Amino acid sequence: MRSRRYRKCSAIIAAAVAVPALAIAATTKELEVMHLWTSGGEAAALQVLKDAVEKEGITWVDSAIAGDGGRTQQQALQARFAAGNPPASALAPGQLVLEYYAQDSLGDLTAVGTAENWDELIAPALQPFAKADGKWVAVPFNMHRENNAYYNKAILDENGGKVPETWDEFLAYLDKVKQGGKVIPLALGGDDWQETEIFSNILIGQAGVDFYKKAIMGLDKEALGSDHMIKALETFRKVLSYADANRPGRDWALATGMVMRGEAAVQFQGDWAVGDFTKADKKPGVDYVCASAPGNRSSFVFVTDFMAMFEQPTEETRANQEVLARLIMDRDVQEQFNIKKGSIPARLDVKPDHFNDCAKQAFADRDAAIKEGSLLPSLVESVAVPNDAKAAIIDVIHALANDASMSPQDAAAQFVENLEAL
Amino acid sequence: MPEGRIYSPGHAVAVAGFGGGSRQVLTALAVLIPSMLAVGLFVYVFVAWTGVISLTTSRFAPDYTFVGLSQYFKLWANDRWITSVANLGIFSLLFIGLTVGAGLVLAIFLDQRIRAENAIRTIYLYPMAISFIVTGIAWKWLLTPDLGIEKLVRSWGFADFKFDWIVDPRMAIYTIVIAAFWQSAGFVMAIFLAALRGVDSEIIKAARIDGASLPEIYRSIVIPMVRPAFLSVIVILLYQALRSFDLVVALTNGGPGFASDLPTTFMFKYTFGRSQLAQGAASAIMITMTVAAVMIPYLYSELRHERRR
Repeated sequence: MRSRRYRKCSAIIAAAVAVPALAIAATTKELEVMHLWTSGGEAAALQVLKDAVEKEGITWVDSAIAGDGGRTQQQALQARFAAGNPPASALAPGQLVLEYYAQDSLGDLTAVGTAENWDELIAPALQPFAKADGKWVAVPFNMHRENNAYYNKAILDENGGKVPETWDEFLAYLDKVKQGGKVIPLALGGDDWQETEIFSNILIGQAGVDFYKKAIMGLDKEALGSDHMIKALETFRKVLSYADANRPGRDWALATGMVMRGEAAVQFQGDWAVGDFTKADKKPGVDYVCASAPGNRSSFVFVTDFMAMFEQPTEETRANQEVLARLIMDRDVQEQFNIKKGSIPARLDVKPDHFNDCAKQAFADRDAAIKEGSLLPSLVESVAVPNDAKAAIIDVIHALANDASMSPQDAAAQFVENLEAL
Repeated sequence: MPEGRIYSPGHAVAVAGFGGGSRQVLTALAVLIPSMLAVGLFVYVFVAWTGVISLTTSRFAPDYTFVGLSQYFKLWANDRWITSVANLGIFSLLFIGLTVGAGLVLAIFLDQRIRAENAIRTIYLYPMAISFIVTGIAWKWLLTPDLGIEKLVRSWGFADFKFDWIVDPRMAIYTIVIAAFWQSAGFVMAIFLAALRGVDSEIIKAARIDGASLPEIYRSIVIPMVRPAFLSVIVILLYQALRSFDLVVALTNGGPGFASDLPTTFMFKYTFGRSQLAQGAASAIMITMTVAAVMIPYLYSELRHERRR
């Protein structure tokens, strides 16, 4: 009697263990894609790729993880990777592609890359994040531009109508708006990354592209503690003093809304903000002006979404990954995807004709930047430096932005100290 | 409050073992072994793994190059960690003090056999039913100066009214106290009310006959008699304070700057946002040890109590 009960018991346990195992084994022609694109424009952009993939007879297994500007998805990916169960393909910022590659976990896409001539089609500045040791391991979708300024057109017209070209002019503009007393000069939220975008714009616009390359991309301690840096930090302090006191906790999109509604004069933001303007039926050149940040005209700070392909056990899934990789870089997919996403294609041979005016400007600026060697990886979005070094810098920016007792000199010294402590 | 329960497999085995034959013991073991194994693996093995990671140089992914305790030295040299520990001290003291005080006062008032007691009790207990994320976001809106309380009072004509703690680095931590207090006071009241109702009314009547006033009765008789409830409440609240995370994330996300970070948010940010797995692990071990320092004496005294009974 008892033994039968136990046998029944063990059968149930065995079944409980076996059923999920069966479910895993019974894969059809499908491919898991982990991404963070769930909002209107993003989801529409991804649909372009999804349609193309399904046309090839592959079932798209959607793992959408939104939240916290993509950080939630990165955390989920890191956790699944640590558990030994990464998805077949996942979005990752440039530096994380390199981290996963260093962990020997990415598959090899060189066959597709060579056949499709990626060496020629992908901007050289992007290649170090998609190609490691001569092997293609990830595919870039797009190039967002980070160093933009969005001006409310009516307020700009009231205050001279001219977009400031230098940081001194910009400060004068903010001051003029402030004197007017009607609107908040600078629309800004409370996140460390929003503050750091401004800082990086100042660094490029004031200290120059070479200094950015040395101090940020090269993490050169001498440059980080230098007078150029202190001057940039002083400007940063001054610029931030034109934001309102209630900015902590404010989302970037709320700050964009302030510019739209004429409650604030200008915001620095990546070109994903254009999507919000468009959604609110605001037209570039009529309701708002998209411009590069002061002194940033001939430089293009890029933020790129890469699709990293994790090594797969079965030949079939590997073949599916190659199809996905080829389609991401497909010219039509790149065009349609990026029109909907608000970015410009990672692929250099797509024509700008069907894009909006802000994006057309971005195409032109990118061409100029490639010529001048000023196509720069973003600090904030984990392209320029690894996450820990980025955090060491952003911590200081965030502290300086919020702690009145900290001086720019302290901040510059703190950069060096934080990096040495890593 | 499911998280507030203290899970102890040992308890259940001992209880099941009472008065039954060996067969019941076997059944009890068969039922318990899966969950004990699960807890053993998913709690203790992972705690141990975190401990191992905290002794290594791990950055983005685990890396088993051992460096002894240097991650801990680095942790305690980090201003952000020190701030978060200091914040935890401020937060725990104020949160527990206020919540226990208000919960007790509310319970005593409700204990006066007032009308509509059930309705009032439900209202006070209601915040407990809301998740910390919702509490955090609702209070964030209330506390944001140009949106919530400050704007409301100003619109009443008090143009100079100021309530901007949430955007003031020196005051932000107190906004977390307010929200956590709001959420937990009703729960504490319910525990105290149950304890007060458990006090033998004969004793109170006897004290009345001896001429004691109501405040005197509460101060010298009732409150000392509900002492065990104090212990439970303080332990539950302390442990709630130590593991506070979602509330902070929703309310201030550690800001402005790092002014309202707690050790838990520090741990999360370092582990997942910054590729500093070993630093995150070291801070997690510090948190675990703090919880253990609170819980072990409590469990010990509880178990000893049980055995004596």
